[in-house]
Amino acid sequence: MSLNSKDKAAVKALWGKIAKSADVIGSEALSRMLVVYPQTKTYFTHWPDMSPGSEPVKAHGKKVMGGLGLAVSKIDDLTTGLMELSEKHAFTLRVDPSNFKVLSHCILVELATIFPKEFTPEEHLSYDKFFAAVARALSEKYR
Amino acid sequence: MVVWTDFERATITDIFSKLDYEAVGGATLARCLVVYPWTQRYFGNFGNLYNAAAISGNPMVAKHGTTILHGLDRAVKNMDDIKATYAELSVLHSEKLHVDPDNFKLLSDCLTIVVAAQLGKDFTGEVQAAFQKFLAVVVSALGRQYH
Repeated sequence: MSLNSKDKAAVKALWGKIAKSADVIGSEALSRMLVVYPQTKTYFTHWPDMSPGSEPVKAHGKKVMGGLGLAVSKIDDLTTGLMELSEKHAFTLRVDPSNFKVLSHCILVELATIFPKEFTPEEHLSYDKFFAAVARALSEKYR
Repeated sequence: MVVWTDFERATITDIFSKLDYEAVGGATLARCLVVYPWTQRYFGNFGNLYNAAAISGNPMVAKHGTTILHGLDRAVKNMDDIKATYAELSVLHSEKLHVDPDNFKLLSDCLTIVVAAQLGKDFTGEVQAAFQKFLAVVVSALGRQYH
Protein backbone atom coordinates (compact mmCIF):
# COMPACT_ATOMS: atom_id res chain seq x y z
CA MET A 1 0.00 0.00 0.00
CA SER A 2 2.77 2.45 -0.87
CA LEU A 3 2.09 5.99 -2.02
CA ASN A 4 1.68 6.38 -5.76
CA SER A 5 2.02 9.65 -7.65
CA LYS A 6 -1.72 10.30 -7.36
CA ASP A 7 -1.55 9.99 -3.56
CA LYS A 8 1.47 12.29 -3.31
CA ALA A 9 -0.25 14.91 -5.47
CA ALA A 10 -3.45 14.66 -3.42
CA VAL A 11 -1.54 15.01 -0.14
CA LYS A 12 0.44 18.02 -1.35
CA ALA A 13 -2.67 19.66 -2.82
CA LEU A 14 -4.62 19.68 0.43
CA TRP A 15 -1.52 20.29 2.56
CA GLY A 16 -1.29 23.77 1.06
CA LYS A 17 -4.62 24.59 2.72
CA ILE A 18 -3.83 22.64 5.89
CA ALA A 19 -0.50 24.44 6.41
CA LYS A 20 -2.32 27.79 6.74
CA SER A 21 -4.12 26.61 9.91
CA ALA A 22 -1.66 23.89 10.90
CA ASP A 23 -1.30 25.02 14.53
CA VAL A 24 -5.06 25.08 15.14
CA ILE A 25 -5.60 21.77 13.36
CA GLY A 26 -2.81 20.15 15.38
CA SER A 27 -4.14 21.46 18.67
CA GLU A 28 -7.72 20.46 17.85
CA ALA A 29 -6.76 16.98 16.62
CA LEU A 30 -4.66 16.33 19.72
CA SER A 31 -7.42 17.65 22.01
CA ARG A 32 -9.87 15.38 20.24
CA MET A 33 -7.58 12.39 20.71
CA LEU A 34 -7.17 13.01 24.44
CA VAL A 35 -10.97 13.12 24.86
CA VAL A 36 -11.97 10.28 22.53
CA TYR A 37 -9.11 7.95 23.50
CA PRO A 38 -8.40 8.69 27.18
CA GLN A 39 -5.72 5.98 27.28
CA THR A 40 -3.50 8.34 25.25
CA LYS A 41 -3.34 10.66 28.25
CA THR A 42 -0.90 8.19 29.82
CA TYR A 43 1.83 9.71 27.67
CA PHE A 44 1.31 13.25 28.91
CA THR A 45 1.06 13.01 32.68
CA HIS A 46 4.11 15.27 32.92
CA TRP A 47 2.05 18.17 31.55
CA PRO A 48 0.55 20.56 34.10
CA ASP A 49 -2.62 20.68 32.00
CA MET A 50 -3.94 18.03 29.61
CA SER A 51 -7.28 19.67 28.91
CA PRO A 52 -8.35 20.38 25.33
CA GLY A 53 -6.99 23.69 24.06
CA SER A 54 -4.54 24.12 26.96
CA GLU A 55 -1.06 25.58 26.39
CA PRO A 56 0.81 22.25 26.50
CA VAL A 57 -1.71 20.70 24.09
CA LYS A 58 -1.43 23.66 21.72
CA ALA A 59 2.35 23.57 21.78
CA HIS A 60 2.42 19.85 21.19
CA GLY A 61 -0.14 20.01 18.38
CA LYS A 62 2.11 22.53 16.65
CA LYS A 63 5.07 20.17 17.04
CA VAL A 64 3.14 17.23 15.58
CA MET A 65 2.01 19.25 12.57
CA GLY A 66 5.59 20.42 12.09
CA GLY A 67 6.60 16.77 11.90
CA LEU A 68 3.85 16.08 9.37
CA GLY A 69 4.98 19.07 7.30
CA LEU A 70 8.46 17.58 7.28
CA ALA A 71 6.95 14.27 6.17
CA VAL A 72 5.14 15.99 3.28
CA SER A 73 8.44 17.52 2.13
CA LYS A 74 10.14 14.11 2.36
CA ILE A 75 7.23 12.20 0.90
CA ASP A 76 9.45 10.50 -1.68
CA ASP A 77 11.55 8.82 1.01
CA LEU A 78 9.82 8.87 4.37
CA THR A 79 12.07 6.24 5.95
CA THR A 80 15.20 8.36 5.41
CA GLY A 81 13.45 11.68 5.90
CA LEU A 82 11.92 10.73 9.26
CA MET A 83 14.91 8.75 10.55
CA GLU A 84 15.66 11.16 13.40
CA LEU A 85 12.03 11.32 14.47
CA SER A 86 11.88 7.55 14.35
CA GLU A 87 14.85 7.29 16.69
CA LYS A 88 13.21 9.78 19.02
CA HIS A 89 9.93 7.82 19.11
CA ALA A 90 11.75 4.49 19.47
CA PHE A 91 14.27 5.26 22.15
CA THR A 92 13.05 8.31 24.01
CA LEU A 93 9.28 8.62 23.65
CA ARG A 94 8.50 4.91 23.21
CA VAL A 95 4.96 5.57 22.07
CA ASP A 96 3.16 2.31 21.35
CA PRO A 97 2.71 2.28 17.57
CA SER A 98 -1.02 1.54 17.89
CA ASN A 99 -1.36 5.18 18.91
CA PHE A 100 -0.17 6.38 15.50
CA LYS A 101 -3.40 4.97 14.08
CA VAL A 102 -5.43 6.63 16.78
CA LEU A 103 -3.91 10.07 16.21
CA SER A 104 -4.16 9.63 12.42
CA HIS A 105 -7.88 8.94 12.78
CA CYS A 106 -8.34 12.08 14.87
CA ILE A 107 -6.49 14.20 12.31
CA LEU A 108 -8.66 12.74 9.53
CA VAL A 109 -11.81 13.59 11.53
CA GLU A 110 -10.50 17.11 12.13
CA LEU A 111 -9.81 17.53 8.40
CA ALA A 112 -13.37 16.37 7.65
CA THR A 113 -14.84 18.97 10.02
CA ILE A 114 -12.71 21.81 8.65
CA PHE A 115 -12.67 20.92 4.95
CA PRO A 116 -15.99 19.10 4.37
CA LYS A 117 -15.95 19.79 0.63
CA GLU A 118 -12.26 19.24 -0.07
CA PHE A 119 -11.95 16.07 2.03
CA THR A 120 -13.43 13.89 -0.69
CA PRO A 121 -13.22 10.08 -0.57
CA GLU A 122 -10.12 10.29 -2.79
CA GLU A 123 -8.36 12.81 -0.54
CA HIS A 124 -9.34 10.67 2.45
CA LEU A 125 -7.82 7.61 0.75
CA SER A 126 -4.52 9.38 0.03
CA TYR A 127 -4.26 10.89 3.51
CA ASP A 128 -5.10 7.55 5.15
CA LYS A 129 -2.29 5.97 3.14
CA PHE A 130 0.06 8.88 3.86
CA PHE A 131 -0.49 8.69 7.62
CA ALA A 132 0.01 4.93 7.52
CA ALA A 133 3.27 5.45 5.62
CA VAL A 134 4.40 8.08 8.14
CA ALA A 135 3.53 5.70 10.99
CA ARG A 136 5.58 2.95 9.33
CA ALA A 137 8.56 5.28 8.94
CA LEU A 138 8.21 6.41 12.56
CA SER A 139 8.17 2.79 13.76
CA GLU A 140 11.23 1.90 11.69
CA LYS A 141 13.72 2.07 14.57
CA TYR A 142 11.53 0.43 17.21
CA ARG A 143 13.08 -3.03 17.00
CA MET B 1 -24.78 -4.44 29.66
CA VAL B 2 -23.82 -1.12 28.10
CA VAL B 3 -24.34 1.90 30.31
CA TRP B 4 -25.21 5.10 28.49
CA THR B 5 -24.96 8.52 30.08
CA ASP B 6 -27.72 11.03 29.43
CA PHE B 7 -25.28 13.00 27.30
CA GLU B 8 -24.50 9.93 25.17
CA ARG B 9 -28.17 9.06 24.64
CA ALA B 10 -29.06 12.62 23.74
CA THR B 11 -26.05 12.96 21.44
CA ILE B 12 -26.76 9.77 19.48
CA THR B 13 -30.45 10.58 19.07
CA ASP B 14 -29.60 14.13 18.08
CA ILE B 15 -27.04 13.14 15.47
CA PHE B 16 -29.31 10.60 13.80
CA SER B 17 -32.22 13.04 13.77
CA LYS B 18 -30.05 15.41 11.71
CA LEU B 19 -28.96 12.84 9.12
CA ASP B 20 -30.46 12.43 5.66
CA TYR B 21 -30.27 8.64 5.65
CA GLU B 22 -30.11 8.41 1.87
CA ALA B 23 -27.37 10.98 1.41
CA VAL B 24 -25.29 9.90 4.41
CA GLY B 25 -25.76 6.18 3.81
CA GLY B 26 -24.73 6.40 0.18
CA ALA B 27 -21.80 8.71 0.90
CA THR B 28 -20.57 6.45 3.70
CA LEU B 29 -20.65 3.22 1.72
CA ALA B 30 -19.08 4.96 -1.30
CA ARG B 31 -16.30 6.36 0.89
CA CYS B 32 -15.65 2.90 2.36
CA LEU B 33 -15.41 1.33 -1.11
CA VAL B 34 -12.96 4.06 -2.21
CA VAL B 35 -10.77 4.31 0.89
CA TYR B 36 -10.71 0.55 1.55
CA PRO B 37 -11.04 -0.94 -1.94
CA TRP B 38 -10.83 -4.54 -0.75
CA THR B 39 -14.33 -4.08 0.70
CA GLN B 40 -15.57 -4.15 -2.89
CA ARG B 41 -15.28 -7.94 -2.66
CA TYR B 42 -18.79 -8.06 -1.22
CA PHE B 43 -20.37 -6.12 -4.05
CA GLY B 44 -19.39 -8.04 -7.17
CA ASN B 45 -22.86 -7.62 -8.65
CA PHE B 46 -23.02 -3.85 -8.14
CA GLY B 47 -21.77 -3.02 -11.62
CA ASN B 48 -19.30 -0.22 -12.18
CA LEU B 49 -17.03 0.31 -9.15
CA TYR B 50 -14.06 1.10 -11.34
CA ASN B 51 -13.07 4.44 -9.83
CA ALA B 52 -14.14 6.92 -7.17
CA ALA B 53 -16.48 8.81 -9.50
CA ALA B 54 -18.18 5.60 -10.64
CA ILE B 55 -18.56 4.42 -7.04
CA SER B 56 -19.97 7.74 -5.85
CA GLY B 57 -22.48 7.78 -8.72
CA ASN B 58 -23.48 4.13 -8.50
CA PRO B 59 -27.22 3.81 -7.70
CA MET B 60 -26.82 0.34 -6.12
CA VAL B 61 -24.22 1.76 -3.73
CA ALA B 62 -26.58 4.59 -2.83
CA LYS B 63 -29.47 2.22 -2.24
CA HIS B 64 -27.43 -0.16 -0.13
CA GLY B 65 -26.00 2.72 1.88
CA THR B 66 -29.54 3.71 2.79
CA THR B 67 -30.30 0.12 3.86
CA ILE B 68 -27.28 0.21 6.16
CA LEU B 69 -28.31 3.50 7.77
CA HIS B 70 -31.80 2.18 8.42
CA GLY B 71 -30.16 -0.83 10.03
CA LEU B 72 -28.26 1.53 12.35
CA ASP B 73 -31.52 3.23 13.15
CA ARG B 74 -32.66 0.02 14.83
CA ALA B 75 -29.76 0.32 17.23
CA VAL B 76 -30.57 3.98 17.91
CA LYS B 77 -34.13 3.00 18.81
CA ASN B 78 -32.99 0.10 21.03
CA MET B 79 -29.88 1.46 22.68
CA ASP B 80 -30.45 -0.56 25.84
CA ASP B 81 -30.35 -3.89 24.06
CA ILE B 82 -28.41 -3.58 20.85
CA LYS B 83 -27.04 -7.09 21.32
CA ALA B 84 -30.48 -8.72 21.11
CA THR B 85 -31.73 -6.29 18.46
CA TYR B 86 -28.85 -7.27 16.19
CA ALA B 87 -28.78 -11.04 16.81
CA GLU B 88 -30.54 -11.80 13.52
CA LEU B 89 -28.47 -9.27 11.56
CA SER B 90 -25.32 -10.81 13.00
CA VAL B 91 -26.34 -14.27 11.83
CA LEU B 92 -27.17 -12.82 8.41
CA HIS B 93 -23.76 -11.14 8.05
CA SER B 94 -21.97 -14.28 9.18
CA GLU B 95 -23.92 -17.17 7.64
CA LYS B 96 -25.29 -15.62 4.48
CA LEU B 97 -23.17 -12.60 3.58
CA HIS B 98 -19.86 -13.97 4.93
CA VAL B 99 -18.56 -10.48 5.77
CA ASP B 100 -15.25 -10.36 7.63
CA PRO B 101 -16.20 -8.52 10.86
CA ASP B 102 -13.11 -6.30 10.58
CA ASN B 103 -14.97 -4.54 7.79
CA PHE B 104 -17.59 -3.28 10.23
CA LYS B 105 -14.96 -1.05 11.85
CA LEU B 106 -13.87 0.29 8.45
CA LEU B 107 -17.43 1.26 7.57
CA SER B 108 -18.01 2.81 10.99
CA ASP B 109 -14.84 4.93 10.60
CA CYS B 110 -16.16 6.18 7.27
CA LEU B 111 -19.50 7.03 8.86
CA THR B 112 -17.66 8.99 11.55
CA ILE B 113 -15.87 11.00 8.86
CA VAL B 114 -19.09 11.69 6.92
CA VAL B 115 -20.92 12.80 10.07
CA ALA B 116 -17.91 14.93 11.08
CA ALA B 117 -17.99 16.66 7.71
CA GLN B 118 -21.70 17.39 8.11
CA LEU B 119 -21.57 18.62 11.72
CA GLY B 120 -18.31 20.59 11.46
CA LYS B 121 -17.36 22.30 14.71
CA ASP B 122 -20.40 20.73 16.44
CA PHE B 123 -18.60 17.39 16.13
CA THR B 124 -16.61 18.05 19.28
CA GLY B 125 -14.37 15.50 20.99
CA GLU B 126 -17.18 14.66 23.45
CA VAL B 127 -19.68 14.15 20.64
CA GLN B 128 -17.18 12.02 18.72
CA ALA B 129 -16.51 9.89 21.81
CA ALA B 130 -20.23 9.21 22.26
CA PHE B 131 -20.72 8.46 18.57
CA GLN B 132 -17.73 6.11 18.42
CA LYS B 133 -18.87 4.32 21.60
CA PHE B 134 -22.26 3.74 19.96
CA LEU B 135 -20.64 2.44 16.77
CA ALA B 136 -18.30 0.19 18.77
CA VAL B 137 -21.32 -1.39 20.50
CA VAL B 138 -23.02 -1.87 17.13
CA VAL B 139 -19.89 -3.42 15.62
CA SER B 140 -19.53 -5.76 18.59
CA ALA B 141 -23.19 -6.84 18.37
CA LEU B 142 -22.86 -7.49 14.63
CA GLY B 143 -19.88 -9.74 15.20
CA ARG B 144 -21.39 -11.62 18.11
CA GLN B 145 -23.03 -14.53 16.30
CA TYR B 146 -19.98 -15.44 14.23
CA HIS B 147 -18.51 -18.85 14.93
